[in-house]
Amino acid sequence: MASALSVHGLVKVYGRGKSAGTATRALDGVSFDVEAGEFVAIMGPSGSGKSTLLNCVATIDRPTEGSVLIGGRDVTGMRSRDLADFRREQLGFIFQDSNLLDALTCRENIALPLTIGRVPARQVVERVDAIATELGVASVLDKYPYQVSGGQRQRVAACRAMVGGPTLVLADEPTGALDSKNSRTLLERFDEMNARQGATILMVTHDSFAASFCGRVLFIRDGRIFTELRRGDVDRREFFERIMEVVATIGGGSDDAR
Amino acid sequence: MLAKLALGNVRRSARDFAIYFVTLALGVAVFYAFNSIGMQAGFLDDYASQLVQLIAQIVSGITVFLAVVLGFLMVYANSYLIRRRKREMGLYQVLGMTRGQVSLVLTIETLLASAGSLVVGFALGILLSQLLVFVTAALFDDAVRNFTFRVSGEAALLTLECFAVMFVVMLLVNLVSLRRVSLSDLMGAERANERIKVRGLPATVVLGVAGVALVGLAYWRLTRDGLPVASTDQYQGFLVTTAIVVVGTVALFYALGGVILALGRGARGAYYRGINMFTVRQLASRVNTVSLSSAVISLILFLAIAVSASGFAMCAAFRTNLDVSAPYDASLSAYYPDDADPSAGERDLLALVEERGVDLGSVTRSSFQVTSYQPSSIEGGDSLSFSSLSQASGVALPGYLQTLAEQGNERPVEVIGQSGYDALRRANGLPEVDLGDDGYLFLCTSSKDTATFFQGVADAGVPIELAGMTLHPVDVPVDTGASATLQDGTAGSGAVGVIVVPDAALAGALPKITYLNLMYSVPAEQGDAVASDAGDLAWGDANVDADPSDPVLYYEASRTECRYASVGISGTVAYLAIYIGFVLVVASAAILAIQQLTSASDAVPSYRLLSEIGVPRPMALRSLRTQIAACFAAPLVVALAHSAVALAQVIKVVRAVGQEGVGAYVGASVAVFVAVYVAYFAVTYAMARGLVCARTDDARA
Ligand SMILES: Nc1ncnc2c1ncn2[C@@H]1O[C@H](COP(=O)(O)OP(=O)(O)OP(=O)(O)O)[C@@H](O)[C@H]1O
Ligand SMILES: [Mg+2]
Repeated sequence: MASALSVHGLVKVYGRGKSAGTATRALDGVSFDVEAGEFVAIMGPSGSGKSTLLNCVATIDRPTEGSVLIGGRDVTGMRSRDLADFRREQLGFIFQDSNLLDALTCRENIALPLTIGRVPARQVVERVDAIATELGVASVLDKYPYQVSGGQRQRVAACRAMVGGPTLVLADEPTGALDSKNSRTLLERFDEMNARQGATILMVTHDSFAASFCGRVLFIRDGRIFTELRRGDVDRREFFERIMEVVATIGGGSDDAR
Repeated sequence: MLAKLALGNVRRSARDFAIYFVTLALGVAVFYAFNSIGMQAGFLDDYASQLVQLIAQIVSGITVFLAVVLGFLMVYANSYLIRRRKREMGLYQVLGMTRGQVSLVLTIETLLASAGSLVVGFALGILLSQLLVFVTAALFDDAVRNFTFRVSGEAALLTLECFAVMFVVMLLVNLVSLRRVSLSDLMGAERANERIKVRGLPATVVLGVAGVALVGLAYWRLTRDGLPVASTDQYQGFLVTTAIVVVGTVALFYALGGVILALGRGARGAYYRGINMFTVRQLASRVNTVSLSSAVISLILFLAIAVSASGFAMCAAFRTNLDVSAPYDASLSAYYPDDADPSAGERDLLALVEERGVDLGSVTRSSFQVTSYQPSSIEGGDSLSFSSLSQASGVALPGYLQTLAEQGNERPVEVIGQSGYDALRRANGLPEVDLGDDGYLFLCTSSKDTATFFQGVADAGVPIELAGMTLHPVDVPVDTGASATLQDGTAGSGAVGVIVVPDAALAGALPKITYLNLMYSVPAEQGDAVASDAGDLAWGDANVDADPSDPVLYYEASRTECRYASVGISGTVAYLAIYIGFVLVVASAAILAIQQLTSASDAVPSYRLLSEIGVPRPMALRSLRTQIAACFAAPLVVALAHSAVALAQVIKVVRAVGQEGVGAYVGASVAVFVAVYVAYFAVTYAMARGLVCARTDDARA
């Protein structure tokens, strides 16, 4: 299968200025591939460079060195004009604080990537309804984000990320603000979307429980890939135990198991 | 320690403070500049200088009113600042600072920002006042003499006092508002702002229909009733109309957000295209949260446009009328005592003045005199009055003549002969008008309404019985031009109306007043000096010592004097109109700017999100521009609509006073205001754009 995402020798240095002493190497040569249809988690201690990695992949941040290929295209050198189009067409984002537009209803929030991409109004409505049903938020579509629960908000954000059928869905701590029940619901939906529609998902998380829903977990520490775990055929519970073991060896970076 | 924190805060939130700073500095500058008009008088010559000093007094009265407007603006700008930083204030308290300490930080911050803007404002104001010297000079038709760079201590002191008071008020408002809100409110301040309020469809429809209906009703009433210039009864109706338009405007703005949303969503194809739905929603909620203040701004703009445009219109009216009201270089007049000998007839005033030692002839190129006669000394003249003409013709008297007639104070009709009128026509380079043996003609320069009245009487063919003759109106329109002016004066100062009759009808009549009009053979300054000597004869002993049967000199005017008097009035009116209008427009545009920047900065996370999900920068900025433009345009459009209706009435009134072509002045002043307003929009957009771009460029933390 073709690589949905291919990262090579990614380096990101913050604060590279006159005083070299203050520079932070947030990423120090990260390389990995994600196949189309994979559901991958990135874990690591706080400050290890997870968000930085995700932002570089998301084209929100520019890496200092290295390349990021999404669907075969190198995004590191793209002009900012093309980047907007690229993000819209190829990427979907879910952030910790859901980041829906407060002025728009949930329906309109989900529709946004389609309307920007000039999809005809009738199709927009159909596709929004379909994905909302899929993620179990069809009943809140006409409410405003502040009128729905945190879990629903996060699922609405997931709808928005997936409605355009992106090559890659990127999620930074999507369950960070949710209780365990809501986390579970969201993750199960991710899993379903991944299994049924073949959505490729890359998720940053602190939480071993969340990571245990994925097919593969990348561990990073001090800006480097420390190790990776594949789920293989084991069931989720057992995968969770194995993740916990690795987390224990890296130290920190994990909430308690739920 | 706290001071350091405060200074750090000012520096860190420079962008938030910038708006406060700019508003305050602008307020100080305008306030100082206009109050320094007393100082500007020093640059002008005596006459204009006196006028300007008079205006300075009026300005300082109006200044109190404007200080209140600007004070409101400051408090507004300040509370914007506080609102933006409530969370921070809450955080300080959570970290263990006492309320007193937080208040102190706040006070120091406000003090720092205010002191800074006061200094900048003064600098700007001093520059502005130097420019204003020239504007003032132009308004008073004078040149600037011995210009030097000057600072008015008086104005500076006044400005300082006003702003000290306002500063204290502002501080109190801050402290009270800080004290009133609980900590959880402070911390939640950011959340609360994000709530979206849009009125439901039924409310929108009711409000919208009510708004349109009320405003329409007010327009209709104003057009029907006109401005309340004629009598006090009209005033009540005018107040009612004003109340209706205020309520209607408020209703309109309350409905606007819902209307935008309904229209936007109605066009489904367009709504679901690009980020139009974001634009529409954002705009609707913006408009909704500021609906009351938008309505107020709209009304203030209306007031500003109406005040300054009518000011300019009046200015134009007073000014251009001079061609008609003061066509001669100088005029002198004398009245005849009641016991004068009719057989002595008209006296030569030029000779009379020379007898008393003033040689007007030496400065005169040409002169002529016109004499009016006592109607009561002519057979049948007793019954000649404005009300008898009105009765005979069935044409109603103009308002003020009617009032005078009712009070038994009717103004006398002046009668002159054909020969006198011929002289007037010749002096103004116009062909003579032959009345024939039994014709008569009206002259009228007092007002358009009065002229219309006379024309009505003439059109009715009302005959006049005089000296045994029956006179009929000639088929010539009422003369309202320079040749109807018996002597120099300011606009509307001449006789109410004059009847020209054949000389034969005046045979043996008692002269009433002789008007002597001169054209100089020398430069005006020289001529005026001699003419004013002649005028002094009216005040000195010359009149008293003179032969009791001689006419009594009582009036002298030169065109220069008339020009000053008229320019004085028009200059004063224009100055005040500009001052008030300018301050009002600046104040309302500043409030709008602050509101727009507030909501732009509130919406920064939204723009960042849009950029992250792939909205191209130009598309996002277009949305921002549309929103700001719409918020600026809505109050202006409504204000312009109100103004169009009101100014049509103003123009009507000014026309009645006798002035055509004020439309251009009105248009020009409206254009200047719109330009200032648009400039504010441009600056606001540029700032909002900077705000959005700067913060969407940061990567997500
Ligand atoms: N804008 C920035 N400027 C300077 N240094 C930064 C910046 N953003 C991140 N860093 C540094 O880069 C390193 C990696 O940060 P990153 O946010 O990627 O960590 P993380 O793995 O997401 O941590 P967490 O789990 O706490 O979110 C940290 O040391 C951080 O201090
Ligand atoms: Mg992070």
